[in-house]
Amino acid sequence: MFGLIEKDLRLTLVRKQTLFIFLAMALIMGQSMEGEFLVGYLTMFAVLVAIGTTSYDEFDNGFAFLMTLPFDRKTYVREKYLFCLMMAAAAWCFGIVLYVIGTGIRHSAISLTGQLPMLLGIIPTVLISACVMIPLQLKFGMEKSRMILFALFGFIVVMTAAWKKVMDNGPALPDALPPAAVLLSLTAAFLLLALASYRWSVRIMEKKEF
Amino acid sequence: MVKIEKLVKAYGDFRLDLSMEIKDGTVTGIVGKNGAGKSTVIRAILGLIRPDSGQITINGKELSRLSEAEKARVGAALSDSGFSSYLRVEDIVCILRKMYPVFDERFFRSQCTSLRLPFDRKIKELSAGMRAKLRVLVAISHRAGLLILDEPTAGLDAEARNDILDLLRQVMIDNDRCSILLTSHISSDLEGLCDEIYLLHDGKIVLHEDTDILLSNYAVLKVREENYETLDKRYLLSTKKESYGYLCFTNEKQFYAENYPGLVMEKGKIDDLILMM
Amino acid sequence: MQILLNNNSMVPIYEQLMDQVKSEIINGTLKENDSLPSVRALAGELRISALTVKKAYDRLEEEGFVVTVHGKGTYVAATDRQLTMEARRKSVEDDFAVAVDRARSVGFSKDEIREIIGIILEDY
Repeated sequence: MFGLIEKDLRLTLVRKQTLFIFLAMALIMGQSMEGEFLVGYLTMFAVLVAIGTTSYDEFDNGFAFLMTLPFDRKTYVREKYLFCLMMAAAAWCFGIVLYVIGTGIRHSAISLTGQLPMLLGIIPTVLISACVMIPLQLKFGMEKSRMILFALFGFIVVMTAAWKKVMDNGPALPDALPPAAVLLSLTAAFLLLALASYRWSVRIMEKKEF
Repeated sequence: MVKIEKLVKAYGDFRLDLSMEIKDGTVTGIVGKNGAGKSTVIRAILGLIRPDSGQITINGKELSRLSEAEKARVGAALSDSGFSSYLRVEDIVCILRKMYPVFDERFFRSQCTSLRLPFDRKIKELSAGMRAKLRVLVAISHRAGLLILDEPTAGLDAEARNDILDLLRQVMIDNDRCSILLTSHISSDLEGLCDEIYLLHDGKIVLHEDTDILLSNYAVLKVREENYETLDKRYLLSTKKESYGYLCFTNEKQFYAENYPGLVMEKGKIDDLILMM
Repeated sequence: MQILLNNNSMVPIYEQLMDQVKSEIINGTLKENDSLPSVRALAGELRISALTVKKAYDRLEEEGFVVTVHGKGTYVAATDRQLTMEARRKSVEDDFAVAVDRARSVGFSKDEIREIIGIILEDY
C-alpha cells in the first residue's frame, strides 16, 4: 500500500509543469474569485490528477508488471480511492489557506464560519465525481474514459452551479434544506456511492487479464 | 517451488496445454519460437491471466491464496511491461524501498552504477539494453526466493545479454536457495545457466531434459541419402529433409558414434532442435 | 583451481570437470582439506549449469576424491596414495587403449603393436 502511494505521488510529480501552471492560475483566481470556486477548482483538479495516475499505470502495458508486485488487485483499487481522498483533502486545505490569505489581504475581517458548510460540501461533491470516474477509467482505459470525462466535467459544472443555487436560495426554503442537512445528505450519498463504486472497481480489476 | 498441473489456456486457434515443475533451488529455462506460448506460461504463473483449467501452486499454495509477504518473495521481470516510463531510476528506488519488506538498496545502487544506469533520467530516455537491465535489477534486488523472468535478453546485443546473464549468475551465488524460471527464444543463453530446459512448441512441451544431458547425449546427425536407409532410426527424435540427405536429431549420441563411425555429428544445440520444429 | 572446458568436445562437460579436478588433486595443486568453490560459484564462473557442477562433485565424492560437508562446502579428501596411484594408472591405461585403437584403425596387427612397444621399451 505504501509503495503504491509512493508510486502515485511520484507519478503526480512527473507532471510538475502542469501542476505549476494550475497552481499559478489558482493563485491569480484567489485574488479575484470567490472562495468556493477557488477551493472547488483546486480540489477537483487534485482529484483529476490523482485519477490520472491510473493512465500512467495503464500506459505501455504497465498493468502487467504492476500486478506482479506484492499486493493484490483489491489493494490496488483501495489505494486509488485512498489516494484520491488524500489529494482532495490536501488540495482543499491548500485552497482554504489561499482563500484566507487572499481575503485577508483584500478585507480586514474574515468570516469563514458562514461559508464553512458550503466549502465542506465541495469535498463530497468532488469525491462523488471521483467515484464515478475511477471505475470508468479502470473499465475503459484512458482513451475512452477521457471522452466520458469531458461529458462528466460538464455535468459537474452544472451540479456545482445547482448546488450553489440551492445554498443561495437556502433562506427561501428554510424548512426543506438547511445547509447542515444538505451537507449531511451529500456526505451520506458520497459514502453510499463510494462503497458501490469501490465494489464495482474491484470486480472490474479482478476480471482483467494482462 | 512451482508446480503447474494440466494448465490449459486457449486464445482462438492457439491452445496452451502443459504440466511442468520448477524444483527448489534450480534454474529452469523455457525455450521456444515466438508464439510458442512462453509468455502465456509466465503470465499464468504470475496470476496475470486466468487459466481455462488446471492448477498452479507456488510452495504448495495457490496463487490467489498467497499473502503479500509471500508475494514479496517473488521477483518478476516481463519483456514488455515495467514501471511507468515517465519515472526516473531514482523514483523507482524510492518506490521499491516502500514496496518490499527487504529491499537491498546498496546492491541496487551499486549495480546501477556498474551497469551505468543513470539515476536522474526517465526510463523512456534509456536505451533498450538499459531498460532490460533495469527490469532484471528490479526483480533481483529484494532477495526473492523465486525469480520469474520473461525473455530477459530478447532484442539485445551480445554484450548486454551477457551482462544480464552474469547478473543472474551473481544472484545464484549470493542467494543459494533461489529458484529461477526464465524464457528465451535463444537457447544458447539458457545452456550456460539453466539446470533444466523445457522446449515449448505450439503450446506444448516437446522436450524436457537436464541441460547437462542435453549437451552430452543429444546431437545433430547429417546423413547422406544413401546412408539414411541403413541407419538405425530407433533413437532419432526428429528428421528433416535437406539437399544433401537428412538432418536428424538424436538423444543417443554415443550409440551413433559407436555404430556409425563415419557419420557427421554435431553437438546437440537446442537452437538446432527449435529450427527443426 | 584452473578449469578449462571445451564446449565442442564430445566428452561431456561434467567428465571434463571431474578429470581436471582429479588431476589437480593427483599432481598436488589441490591439497587435502582445500575447499572447492561452491557449486553455484563454480557454475557461474565457468558459465555452465549448476547441476553439471553438482554432478561432477557427486561423482568425485563417490570416487573418494572429495568430501561434501552438508551446509559447509566441498573439500579435498584425505589423499589415499593407493587411490591416487590407481587413478594415475587408470589414466595411463586409457592412453594405451587410445593408442591401440588408433593403431588398429590404420591396420596394425596385434603382433606389430607388440613389436612397436618392444622397440620403445628397449630404449629405456
